[in-house]
Amino acid sequence: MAMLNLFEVLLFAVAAGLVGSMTGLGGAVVVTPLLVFFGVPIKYAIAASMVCIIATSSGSASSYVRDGLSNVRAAFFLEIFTAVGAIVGAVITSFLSPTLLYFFFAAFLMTSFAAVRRRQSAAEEPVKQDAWAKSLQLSGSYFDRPTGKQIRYELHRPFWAAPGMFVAGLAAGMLGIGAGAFKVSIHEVILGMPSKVSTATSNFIIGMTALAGASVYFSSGLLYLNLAAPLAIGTTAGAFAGSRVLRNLRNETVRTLFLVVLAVVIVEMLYKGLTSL
Amino acid sequence: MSDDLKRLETAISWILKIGVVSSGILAASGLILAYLQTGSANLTLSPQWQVPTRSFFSFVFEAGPSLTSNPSPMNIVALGIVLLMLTPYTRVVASVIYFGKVRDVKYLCITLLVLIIITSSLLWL
Repeated sequence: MAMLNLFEVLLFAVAAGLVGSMTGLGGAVVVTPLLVFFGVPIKYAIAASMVCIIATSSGSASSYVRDGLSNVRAAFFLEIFTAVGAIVGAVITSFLSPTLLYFFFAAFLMTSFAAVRRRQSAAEEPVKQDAWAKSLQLSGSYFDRPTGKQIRYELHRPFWAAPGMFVAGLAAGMLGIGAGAFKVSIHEVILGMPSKVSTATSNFIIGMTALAGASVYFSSGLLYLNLAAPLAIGTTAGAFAGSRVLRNLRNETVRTLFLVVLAVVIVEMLYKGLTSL
Repeated sequence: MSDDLKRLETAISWILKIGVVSSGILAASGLILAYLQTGSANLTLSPQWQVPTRSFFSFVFEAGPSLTSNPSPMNIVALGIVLLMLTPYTRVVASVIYFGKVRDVKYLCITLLVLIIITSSLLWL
């Protein structure tokens, strides 16, 4: 294994946290491939990432929740499914071959890329609350800084989102990522959430998904504290900065940044998978 | 969004902030101490830093006493990571208490279910 340096790990963790928070990806989508790039075995990278996601997500979610940007009711409902998915996913990874994990990583992110890319061309259409969403009180409002307006929104089809959130949790637990890309697309495409609320809510849910996954990795012998700790510190610092930048960005800018980061990570994981065959 | 939910949001925001900052301070202190003791910034994945294979809660109950009896860098970092993992856990507990207090049965059941799932996983997996 390549020699890792504490300060280098801290530095790239800050960068990963910044990008992860600004895009709603959760940081680990950048952290796991970077650790693998530095020669850390993928299962150790996944376990460490899973713990560091708790810090990244909680760090940025603290300000999103305070500002009312995260829809907490939607989050409470959806995290039932992501938590179960993450536990199942983490158990699967304990038995899976590392080569398969690279391909799963790339394949999963490709689906997120396609879903969000398709959505990019469509303008954000407000949706009408249906009976289930009304029963779960799924609506809200947030202050949009670039336009200076208070924007009200309603959500619909909460139960349609449930299987998607289970899959998001499964992928998160398996791959040591927040699966923010997938969650964001479910929020936007199925629930009809505005992009910024979707990113903020995803950050909030990711903390719980990561805890569910980490609960399995914690006792699996795959977790190294000297790897998880600098990652957690660095990504949290980056996430604090990232959440402040997000509020001043336009929805389209957030989405474009999201797609660029995903594309780079997909290429790296495919390369890693092919060279390890 | 009701004012009541705003109270919960403020509480959650503080729980997350305090959890992340305190765990970060502990983990950073442990890492700095390790650096000062060894004089090296190399990160080696040695068994000394590996979390032993036992459930989270048994680790939690041992983290405090271990730190008092042996304030090693590893034990300080371990306590930091434990605090970090307890952060989202605490915000679910706070949500359960809140929805119980305001008698919102639907969301009490939803948050309670999340709490049961996470607790089971932390106890048995």
